Amino acid sequence: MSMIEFHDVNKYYGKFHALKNINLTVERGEVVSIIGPSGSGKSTLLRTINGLEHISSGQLLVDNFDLADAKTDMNKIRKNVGMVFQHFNLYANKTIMENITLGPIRVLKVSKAEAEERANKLLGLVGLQDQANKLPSMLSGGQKQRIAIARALAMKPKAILFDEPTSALDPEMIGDVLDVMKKVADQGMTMIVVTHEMGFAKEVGDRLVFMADGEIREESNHPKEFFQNPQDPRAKEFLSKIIHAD
Amino acid sequence: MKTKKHHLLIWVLLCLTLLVSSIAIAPQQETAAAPKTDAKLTAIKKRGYMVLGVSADYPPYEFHKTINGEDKVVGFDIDLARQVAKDIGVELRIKELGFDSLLGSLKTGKVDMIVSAMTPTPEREKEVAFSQPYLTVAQKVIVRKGEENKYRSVMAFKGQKVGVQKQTTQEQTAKDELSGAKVVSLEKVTDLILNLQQKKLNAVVVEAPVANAYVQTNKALTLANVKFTNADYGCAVAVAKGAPAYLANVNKTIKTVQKNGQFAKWQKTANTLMFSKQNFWQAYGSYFLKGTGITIVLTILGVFFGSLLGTLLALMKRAKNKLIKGIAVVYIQYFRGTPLLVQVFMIYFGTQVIHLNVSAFASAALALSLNSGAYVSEVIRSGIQSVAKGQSEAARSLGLSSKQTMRLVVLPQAVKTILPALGNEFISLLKESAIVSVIGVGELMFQTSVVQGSSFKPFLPLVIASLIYFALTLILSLVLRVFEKN
Repeated sequence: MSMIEFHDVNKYYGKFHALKNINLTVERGEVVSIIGPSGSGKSTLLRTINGLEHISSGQLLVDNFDLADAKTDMNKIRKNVGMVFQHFNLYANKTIMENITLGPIRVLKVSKAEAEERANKLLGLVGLQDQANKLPSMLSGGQKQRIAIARALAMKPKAILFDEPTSALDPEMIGDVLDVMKKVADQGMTMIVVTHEMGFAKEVGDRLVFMADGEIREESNHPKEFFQNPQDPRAKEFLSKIIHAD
Repeated sequence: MKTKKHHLLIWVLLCLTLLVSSIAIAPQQETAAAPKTDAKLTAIKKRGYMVLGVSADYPPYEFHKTINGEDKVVGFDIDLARQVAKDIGVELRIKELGFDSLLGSLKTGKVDMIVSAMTPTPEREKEVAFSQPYLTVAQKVIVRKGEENKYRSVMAFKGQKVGVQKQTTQEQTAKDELSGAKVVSLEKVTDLILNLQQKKLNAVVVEAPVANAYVQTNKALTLANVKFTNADYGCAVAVAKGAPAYLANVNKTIKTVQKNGQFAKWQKTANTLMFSKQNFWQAYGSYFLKGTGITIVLTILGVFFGSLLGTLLALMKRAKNKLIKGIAVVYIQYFRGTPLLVQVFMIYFGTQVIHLNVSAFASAALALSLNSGAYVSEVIRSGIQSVAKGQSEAARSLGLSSKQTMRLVVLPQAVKTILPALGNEFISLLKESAIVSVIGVGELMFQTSVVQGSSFKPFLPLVIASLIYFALTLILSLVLRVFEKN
């Protein structure tokens, strides 16, 4: 069974048609990058996957749960689908250690000792072992985002959603975060990444999705080829602007 | 000396009129054969006590006095009420209220009778039943000393501001007989005197015994030589309508104490008490102390229950269920959209209408809690809103339930915004608690007016009260500042 399946999904905000007839399947262990101009519906698409946004019509299956079904317990899906936000959203009132262990202790009912042991391992993975007792406000943006990834991993999720994870970072911080994301990808995690980092999409992504105006305009199983030779006119326009900007 | 003679003369005249009127009324009363008992009288006897409603800031009728270190409500009205209770064979309990609240309390059954220098008027007679008068008094005009020559007749008040106590006989007299005067009605005699001293009013119409008391204790005031044509009114006991046997009992007591000279003795005692000199602090310090204590207790109760209620309301307002949300929205709108004064009356009298006997103190605490709950809920709501949306999204994304998210992530952060605003709410509650004095709760403002009334010093007690309130709010804000720093 696929990890995530969109079948003719539509999403409206009042009269605004935010997602138009989305069909998309993400297999387990796949890394899918979603790119496109701002306002194209990338983040909205991502947020429907863990129910932060509700879909208006169509079918959305996540780990075999039907999200349109009122009986589906969203908390069960969220437990298995982690999320990393553009603005990190670390709990401002809690230490780094507490940020990472809150979910495991409260939701997975893991003992505190066990949760902290795992948290220390994850802090090692993201290279921030010595920050455990600090508050989020004491860290740099790049450090915060690496903690956010550790926090998502602590729940042992089946997939992680990344919502523009490097957009709010200073340029010199981006590399560290992307390195961590590569490590996570190498471990076989299912990842859906909304990003402006074309390098990541090209090198790490198994698959690439280009969105514009709420639609999926182009899908490619070979990201490198897409960047050399996009088919959709909007994709061509978008890439030409990106390259100029670089 | 001159004023004293004058004063004595009034009393002699008074007693004479009393005697004459009692003789005149007596035969009428005997012909009306009242039934032996009625529901009201039976209820009082069964209960074993009766409740007197009185506005105890009107010496020599009724006022507070410290006797042997103990605060007591005294005056000839009180003596008469005690005699009425004794004749019925029950104990007397005194309930202090603002004069405006008296009739409402009697009608709703909070009190069993009013003996509070009340004069029967056609309006009042529609609401309650009155006994025969136990005292007939003349009306007097107080003016500032040196201006008495300006006011020699009822015609001299044209265009002048004349103060009277609201809803009293004097209000009617001033309107009827002081042609062209601008009549200003206030709640308390003490306020009238204060206004007169501050030249905000040019004259004040009060009953002779009260007028004499003020003129004797205040060198800056004197009586104007004005005669009213229809100025002698009786003071009577008010009871609920539809209780003929009960009323007959009251009338019988009045007749007896007038005949055997008991009432005259009470008047003498009251006058002596009224003019007995005491050191201000010795006499009234305990009133301020007691009032401050009750104000603090009321504020703490209001703050505590208001916070609980406010939290509940804030959560209700965020509920998905439209009914629960609607209840919270209407509640908050109502309690923020109506004056606290009205709410206090609504609760105090409203509970009686649905046959719940809630004490004035409990009513006040309830009103303050309900009122502050509405404000606190808005404080909490805005505190919750001040927490970035990303915080709860992150928590929900990691599988925390909405309750866990609120408790573990949002509320701990919201507290930072909530605490200072909550502190302001507590300070304003402390000040607002002054309003509950209208239903006779003995908090600071109530005690202040008691002292104003019995000391014949209208201004000084206000200054003291304001300093006490100021000190309390200052201490509270300092305490809160320490809290916020931590």
